[in-house]
Amino acid sequence: VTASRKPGKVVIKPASPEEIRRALKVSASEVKAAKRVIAELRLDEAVRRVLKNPSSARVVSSRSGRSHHTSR
Amino acid sequence: MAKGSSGTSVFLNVPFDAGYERVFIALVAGLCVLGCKPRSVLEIPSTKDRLHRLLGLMRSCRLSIHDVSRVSGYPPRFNMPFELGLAAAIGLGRWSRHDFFVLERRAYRVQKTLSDLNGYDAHVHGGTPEGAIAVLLDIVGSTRSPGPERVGAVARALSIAARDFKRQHRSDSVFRPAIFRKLVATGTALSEVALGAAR
Repeated sequence: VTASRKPGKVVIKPASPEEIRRALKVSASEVKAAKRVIAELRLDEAVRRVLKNPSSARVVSSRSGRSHHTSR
Repeated sequence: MAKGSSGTSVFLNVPFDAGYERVFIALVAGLCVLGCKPRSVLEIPSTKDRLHRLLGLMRSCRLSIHDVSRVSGYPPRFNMPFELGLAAAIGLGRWSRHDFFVLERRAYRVQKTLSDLNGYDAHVHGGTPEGAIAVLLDIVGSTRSPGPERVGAVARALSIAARDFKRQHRSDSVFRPAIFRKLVATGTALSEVALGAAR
C-alpha cells in the first residue's frame, strides 16, 4: 500500500483520451459539447498561450468578448 | 490489483462543495494530463445498491485519492472518511494492488482528526489548485511526466469551461454527473493540446 510510512509514487501507463471517455461512458453529445466550449472560448489557444508565456494566465471569451482573469 | 481493476483509473473521494471546486478541477485536469481515468461516486446513481457499486468502482481503480480537508461542520461529513475506510480495507487486502492517498489542507491535522492513520503521510495541498497539482504529481507519475505548468494551463482552461457547463446546466455546482463527464471530455481534449505543445 502506497499510503505508507514511505509513500511511493504510482507510475501508470497513460490511457488514450478515447479509453478515458469510454471508461466514464462519456456520450458523443458530451464530447461534442466539450469541443464546442473549447472552440467558443478558445481554450486551446489559451492553453498554448499560457505554455508559451506562463505569466499570461488570461484568456478572452469569444462569446462575451470579455477577458477572464484566471490567475489564482 | 483487484480483479478487473484498471491500471489507469483513479478514484477521487473529495468534498462536493463550492469552496472545493477549483481544487477538484485541478485534480481532474491533472489526471487527464497524466493519462488517468478520473472516477467518482458521481458516476453512481442513488439506488439501493449504491454501496455495492461504490465498492466495485473503488476496487476497479488502481489508486484512490481521499481529501479529508473539509469534513468538519454541522452535521459533520462522514462520506470522505467512510470512503477512505473502504479504500484502506481494499488496499490492505493481501493480494491488492490498490494504493490510497490522503490529502489535507493543513500539515499534521490528519494526525489529530484520524489518528488511526498515524504513521501514514497526508499530502498537504494548502487548499489551492497549485498545491493540488503539486501533490498529484508527487503521488502519480506517468510516462508522459508533465510538469506543473502544463497541468496548470489545462486546469485554468478547464475552470473556464466549468463556468460554461454550470451555466448550461443551470447549476451552481460542478458536482453533477453530466458536468463531471463533460469536464473529463474537455480535460482530455485540452491535455492533447497541452501535450502537443510540448512536442
